[in-house]
Amino acid sequence: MDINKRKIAKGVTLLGVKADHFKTNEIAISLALPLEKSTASVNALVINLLSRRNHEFASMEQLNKKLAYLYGASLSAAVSKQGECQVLKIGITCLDDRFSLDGSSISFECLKLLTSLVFYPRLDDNGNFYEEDIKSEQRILIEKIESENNEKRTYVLRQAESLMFKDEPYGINKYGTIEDVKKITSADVLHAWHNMLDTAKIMISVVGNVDFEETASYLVSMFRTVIRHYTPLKDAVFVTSRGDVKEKMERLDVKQGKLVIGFRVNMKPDDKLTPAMRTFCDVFGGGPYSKLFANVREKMSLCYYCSARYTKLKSYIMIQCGCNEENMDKAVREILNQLEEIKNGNFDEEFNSSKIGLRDAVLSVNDTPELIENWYSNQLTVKSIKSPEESAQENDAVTKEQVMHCATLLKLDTIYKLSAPKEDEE
Amino acid sequence: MKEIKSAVLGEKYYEIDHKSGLKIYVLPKENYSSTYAIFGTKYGSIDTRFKRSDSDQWTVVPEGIAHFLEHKLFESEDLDAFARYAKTGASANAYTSFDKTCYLFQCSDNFKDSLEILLDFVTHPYFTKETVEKEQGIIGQEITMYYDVAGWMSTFNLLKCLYHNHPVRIDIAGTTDSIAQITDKLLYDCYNTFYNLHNMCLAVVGNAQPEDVLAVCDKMLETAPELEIERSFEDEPRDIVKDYEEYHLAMNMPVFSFGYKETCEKPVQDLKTVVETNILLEILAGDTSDLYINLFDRGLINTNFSKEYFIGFGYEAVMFDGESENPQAVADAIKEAVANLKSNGITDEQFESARRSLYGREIMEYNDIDSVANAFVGAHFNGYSIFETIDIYKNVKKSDIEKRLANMMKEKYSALSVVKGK
Repeated sequence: MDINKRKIAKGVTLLGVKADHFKTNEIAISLALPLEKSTASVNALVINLLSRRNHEFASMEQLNKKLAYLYGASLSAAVSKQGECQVLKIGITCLDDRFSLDGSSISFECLKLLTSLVFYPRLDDNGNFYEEDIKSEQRILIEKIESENNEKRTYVLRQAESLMFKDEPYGINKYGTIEDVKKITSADVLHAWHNMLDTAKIMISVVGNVDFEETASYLVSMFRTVIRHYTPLKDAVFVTSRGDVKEKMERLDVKQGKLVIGFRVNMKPDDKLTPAMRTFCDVFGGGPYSKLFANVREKMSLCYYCSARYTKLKSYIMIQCGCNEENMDKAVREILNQLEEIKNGNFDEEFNSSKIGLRDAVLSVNDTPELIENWYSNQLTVKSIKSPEESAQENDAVTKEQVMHCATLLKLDTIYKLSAPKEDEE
Repeated sequence: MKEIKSAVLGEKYYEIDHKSGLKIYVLPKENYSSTYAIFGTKYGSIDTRFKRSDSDQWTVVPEGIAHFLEHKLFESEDLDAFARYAKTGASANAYTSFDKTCYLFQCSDNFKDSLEILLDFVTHPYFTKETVEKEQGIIGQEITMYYDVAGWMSTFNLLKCLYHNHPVRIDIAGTTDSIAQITDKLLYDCYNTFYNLHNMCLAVVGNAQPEDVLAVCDKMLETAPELEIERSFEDEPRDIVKDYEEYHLAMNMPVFSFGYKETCEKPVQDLKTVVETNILLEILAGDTSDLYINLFDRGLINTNFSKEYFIGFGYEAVMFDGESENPQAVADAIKEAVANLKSNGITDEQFESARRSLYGREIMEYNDIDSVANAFVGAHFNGYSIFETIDIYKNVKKSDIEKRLANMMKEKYSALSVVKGK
């Protein structure tokens, strides 16, 4: 697949992946800002607010009717963390022009719609966002935070993250807090919107059968309307160790316990060995061939699920388990024991499986426009962008010795447990 | 080998009646690097009472046995299926639903080797008393995990409100009590009945050609004896069990499921009626509907609101799921919107907007090799061809939808299930 990159304005890049064999096109605008407690909630609110209406389609009903007319194009807004950046994204999935019943261009219409949502929101005569629109978004964002808390697997992971990164920006929830959402004012929203357009690192990604030149010149004209004050984003705070292991048991009325274990990883995001660290994490707790799945779950039946995840941009690995309270300490011991096994080089089969498994998974990204779009927008905050093929090549070059070395770079940091109240405490 | 084309979609697939008795579908995708294969049996959690064509006896089995069997098939005397896939690089999985059990993998390389593994482990069961006992513990934990998942509990509690006897009211994995009754003998009885190749199908979509698939099938599959399976359920009354249920979890934001039990005049609904009902639900509760906008503006729903036409063998319902501070007010608004639509009729604009939107989404499905492969299995077990759907969207009339509306969503057959904090 051909990949085109073009600078649209200072800190604004258009990335096009040309493919004409899909039924749909993906267009997304991703904006990265520093993750800060004072702005996390209002930024999260703004991107959702922009996705709901604009100056032309003043109500959600009008906007949704437009999307239905565009053959059920789907519009979505999302907030994520990339290292210690907060990434706001608004994207649209639309049918390719060749399926249009009346010959009109669906994708260019969608590009125009998407940019107009970001550049021309619905403002009152004084240039402010409407109070009623902000109130509605506050409710939705609070419900989103509560909805995440409803899901205990996500909830316990968030709790573990905020304990482990208590004194670092990474500990801030991507949506901020319910209290901060409640405090948002109209002036905050206006400021956040301007700040986002003026200062964020921005990528517009277009995947499918969309004319790159036409898109680029349209975007250049749009970005001429803002004065950019872009300064490059800072790297995440790099912490390799933080003293004693932090342990916490939280008691909630749940039927099944959960256990989360956090490790610091002594490897910076731009280290040449990060592909080996990815392989290490996969051997440790990735696919069904991994050490944790095969031993902690299958052989010893200590957990119903047990998996590891490496976050390169913040240099840590998190293990998540569904685990009954009586098994938790045993599970922790066994997980550490499996780490030793890797340090000692006992992972030949897992290594081979991981190498072909990761390669297969990375290459399959190319078969879904949505995954391709995510692949690139997930690299918004890194300096050099890699394609799935390049990533597969890096994976192929990883050696067993490198993986053994990676295993020695982990340092246990946090153990977070969630379980039901003890009977005598009820 | 039949070749079936769709000019609208720009796709074609091959349909093969394999000599073993298995139905095979292959849809090659140009320029795709990966392939998705799914091997399914028409056997799900609701199949707890059945009769084989070579027997006079009805067999009754414990709830949750189809799902249990799915777990057990991954094991064999030596290497389990996951360990075998680990050598080809495919990512593999399986699932059990109310009416089918499917085994699948996706890969970019070594397709034929992975297909061999799939066909081999599904056609070679191996269970002993000991392995069955071990699995009872693991599945017990899986069942318990869902007791903490609000959306899951909300849906099943609604089904328990709507259905007296039909096994759709029971959790797909069964209960810890029901799975305790499962034995290796019962597993073999179910296996030998439902995993007969005449009751199964294979669908392959992506970077593969029919010749590749056939070569592996010829090598791996033995001819299955002819067999027909009769299903039976206890009579299900038209009325519902109760109209409200509440369940408590450690949480703040209440989750709800509201639904209507529909008449089930024939065990399997025809495709045209399914498409019409989906358009109807889009008109009633899609994101351009008065109902959706009204609920959203009143702060009663958020973006997690959804609607579903929920059908399968012997059951049919319409369900609305979401999160709300006031689920009862949402249920009341839905009932009111149904009444309004029935009395005011459907406008041309409403109809066209819903049809156009669903037509586009149907085409979009063909992007994803997994969606297409799963659609083949669903279509095969319900007796239609996947390309028929798009034609129905093109030809459906507003009057068809109005006729459908007149007979559906009757208030006295509706119920609300709520999951909230204590």
